[in-house]
Amino acid sequence: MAIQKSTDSSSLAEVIDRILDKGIVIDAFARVSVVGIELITVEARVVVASVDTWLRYAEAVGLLRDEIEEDGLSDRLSSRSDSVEYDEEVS
Amino acid sequence: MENENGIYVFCGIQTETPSTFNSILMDGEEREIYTIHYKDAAMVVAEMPMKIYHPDKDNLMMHQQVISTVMNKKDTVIPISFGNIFHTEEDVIALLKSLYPQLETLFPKIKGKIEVGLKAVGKKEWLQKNINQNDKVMKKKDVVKSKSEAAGYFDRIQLGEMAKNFVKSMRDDIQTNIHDELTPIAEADKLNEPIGEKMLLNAAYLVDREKEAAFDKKVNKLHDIWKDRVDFKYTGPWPAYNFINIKLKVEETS
Repeated sequence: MAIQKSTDSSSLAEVIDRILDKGIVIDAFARVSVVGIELITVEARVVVASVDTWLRYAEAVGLLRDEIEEDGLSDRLSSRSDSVEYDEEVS
Repeated sequence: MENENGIYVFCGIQTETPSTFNSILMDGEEREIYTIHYKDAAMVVAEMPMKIYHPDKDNLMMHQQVISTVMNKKDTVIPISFGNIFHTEEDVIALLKSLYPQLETLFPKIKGKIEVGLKAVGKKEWLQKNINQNDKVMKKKDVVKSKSEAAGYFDRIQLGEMAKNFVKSMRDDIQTNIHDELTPIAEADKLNEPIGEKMLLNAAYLVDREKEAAFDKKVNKLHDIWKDRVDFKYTGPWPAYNFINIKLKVEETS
């Protein structure tokens, strides 16, 4: 076949596009302690759109660098830059 | 706090049988991947140092790699976003309990289904060739060229708007000719915003495993038709990231 799909490491941008803000997303505070605190579901939409993407965040903090500032988590929740370039080589 | 271990969660699966998966190397140590259960729902987890996991390449790929391994063995995988670690197994059970009503309805919907992604990026030469055939745009281009930078300010804005509309029409075209051809084979589909100006389609499809081959074939057929004009980026199988959207927050009980 001419083109075959894959999820290998060549598609890091695709991985980023998915695993940062899609699927089940847990608020940062919720991970700190769960027992004794009631978890509430803010949104539970299934098979519908999620508009936001943290790819912008990823780009903004230079994700492809190996390490990110220690307090990166708060940025992760708030910071978003205005634009993102799609630079990945298309094979 | 420094040396404390926590329970990192990768994804949810539907099973009552405790399972293990290929272990991973994390922070120089081998970590066993196992399951924590509540009723017929389970979380695929690993014991890892309790800390903030930065979304760097290694960590992201570690998360994805585990999910891929799980997907090879299980047919009902609910993806969890990157970087979630809990103090104890009890916390994960509490999470499962609170999620259970949603998991229960989700399981049958995603059982045996995978997500695939398709991005179509317009080739520059083709886009250029197309816009050069537009008389109105070409006329405006000449106007811009004939004026000084200051005098042509509004013309340049208009030219930019024309270019934007042109890309929009290309996107509509691709949606009709590529996306609409694929949706009948998919269980569900989702159009995401294109990333960058040249991207004409950024879509995700939920596909039944039984129709996976047919879907691949259709994508290839479309690629044959379009390959001189656009580049395809076809990825998967992913768990249904684009089709499951559950956001959890905590509220303190007083």
